[in-house]
Amino acid sequence: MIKNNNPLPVWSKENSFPIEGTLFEIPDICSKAKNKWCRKHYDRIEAHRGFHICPMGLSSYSTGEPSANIITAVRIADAYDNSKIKASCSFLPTLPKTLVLSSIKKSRNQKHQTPNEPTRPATPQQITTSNDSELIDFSLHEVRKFNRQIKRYSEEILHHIESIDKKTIEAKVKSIFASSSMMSIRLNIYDFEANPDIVTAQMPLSTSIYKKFDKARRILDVYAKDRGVKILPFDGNSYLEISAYQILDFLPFVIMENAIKYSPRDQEVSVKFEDDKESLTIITSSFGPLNTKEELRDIFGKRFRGEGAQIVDNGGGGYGLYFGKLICDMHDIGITVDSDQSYTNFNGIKYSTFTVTLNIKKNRN
Amino acid sequence: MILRKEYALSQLSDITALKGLERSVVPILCIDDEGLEYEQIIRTHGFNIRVLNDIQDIKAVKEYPVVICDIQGIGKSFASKYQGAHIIEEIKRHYPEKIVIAHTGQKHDARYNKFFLMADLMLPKDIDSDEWIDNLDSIIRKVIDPIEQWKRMRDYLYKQDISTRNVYLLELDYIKSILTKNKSTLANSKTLKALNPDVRGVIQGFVASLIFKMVIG
Repeated sequence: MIKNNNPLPVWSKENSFPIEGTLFEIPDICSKAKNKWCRKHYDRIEAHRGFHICPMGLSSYSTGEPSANIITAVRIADAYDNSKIKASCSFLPTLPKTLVLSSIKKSRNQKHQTPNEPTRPATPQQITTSNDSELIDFSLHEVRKFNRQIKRYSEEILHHIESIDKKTIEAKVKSIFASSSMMSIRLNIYDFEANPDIVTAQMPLSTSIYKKFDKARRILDVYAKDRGVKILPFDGNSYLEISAYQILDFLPFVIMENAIKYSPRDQEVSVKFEDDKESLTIITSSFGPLNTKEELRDIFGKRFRGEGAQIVDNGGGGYGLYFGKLICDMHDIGITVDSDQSYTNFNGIKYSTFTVTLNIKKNRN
Repeated sequence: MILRKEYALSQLSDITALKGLERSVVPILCIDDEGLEYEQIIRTHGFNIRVLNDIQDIKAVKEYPVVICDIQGIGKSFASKYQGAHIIEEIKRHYPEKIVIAHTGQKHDARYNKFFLMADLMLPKDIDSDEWIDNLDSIIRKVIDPIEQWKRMRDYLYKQDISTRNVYLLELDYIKSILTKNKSTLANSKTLKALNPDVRGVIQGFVASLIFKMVIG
């Protein structure tokens, strides 16, 4: 039987029944439910991240990950059917969505700690002196993810080669190219971490920043479409070329990929180029989880992730902006981030406009 | 004290070896035992590229201002355990003005750093056609830039412990050669004749290189 460390009940596929949490028991409604309905419900929501209402009117929350537990058999604000549960004799307080999300996050963190290990973030010294096996794990995980996507798209074409139309083939091939390019970016970053000395020893080449952003946009467009996010056409243009190392390719990728990854569906990502006599400023704006002022201060730290970011996407490693800042420093590019402190609640998470601003001085002597 | 007409390297900034970017003018050699997957695409974009599976002698690279070199599986005739990395070292020893690109999937491996640092650029094995084209265009711009070419040669001379005065005198001869379109100014330079034969050979090779051919003819 699966052990449940979460305070809230979770669905057990093995038993086709929920397992009680450390704080909440299984309500009486569940014992009246038909297993067949329940199984159908959990199979349906397994891959769909978000809050759902079960056939008995109670709430469920799925992270959308195949191996993760589905929280269920509780009453969560705005995600229950009162007409079905009002007759229940069980203790069913209405839980705020944020409480559920933070409980998932905490139980996830506990899994990664040994029993006596204190809950404490790594110090900068620990981070820089450790052999970063987490980056290796993260990179392998990401590479496998992209490779899986390439296989899936390829098989979709192969299996329907006779009936598939040209437009669909084109879309799928673009997806294959995008996954492959994102895999290359991850591998380059791993090389950078493993052997940083060779990056600056290389001959810098004249590089158009606009072209780098444009390429990242073309590749990420497929990823954005998959996530229901729209990358708006770039506002402005720039012909500025700077002398740059190859690793600079990573910068527009990480900024735009983060913007897409943390955006809820139907939102937009915008990139604006303000080119004047003295400098080029590139502003990337998106709607993402709110970062507090304290989180913004630490956002360039290695493995640092804001609380909202961890809830929205638990697949990240907290490496993106850390490497982004290193690359900016290497090229004398100013980078600042901002998270609007006036926010909107969406699915129990505080969202606001997140902005990354790059500033490149033209007189670079 | 230097009693002769002095020039500044910046005087060459108006000298353009080529009016537009002519990709085909700069021969590129790629040495890779597995060939180059993007060879045809690179050629279709107008680059003058030749792909060899290996070379037997370092002189094989002589006519190519840009050499793309794999790290593993080549250089068998050189009998070095560092294979392609050893070829990079040899190219840099004999032809310091050439731009050498290490084409490798082993950027993470610090054991090769000594050789990687000799290369001007490292391109991973999984770059796409856009990246090939952009990188080769930038490299060609460097090959046909007389200031850039002299800076590379100057670095080499300093590494050979040539005195600052002699490097400066050679620089004046080089600038004069380019400005007056007379390669013999550098080829017959008194300073050059006083250098050791190995360094002299390298400079003479430089006089015969593409940059002189393009500027002087």
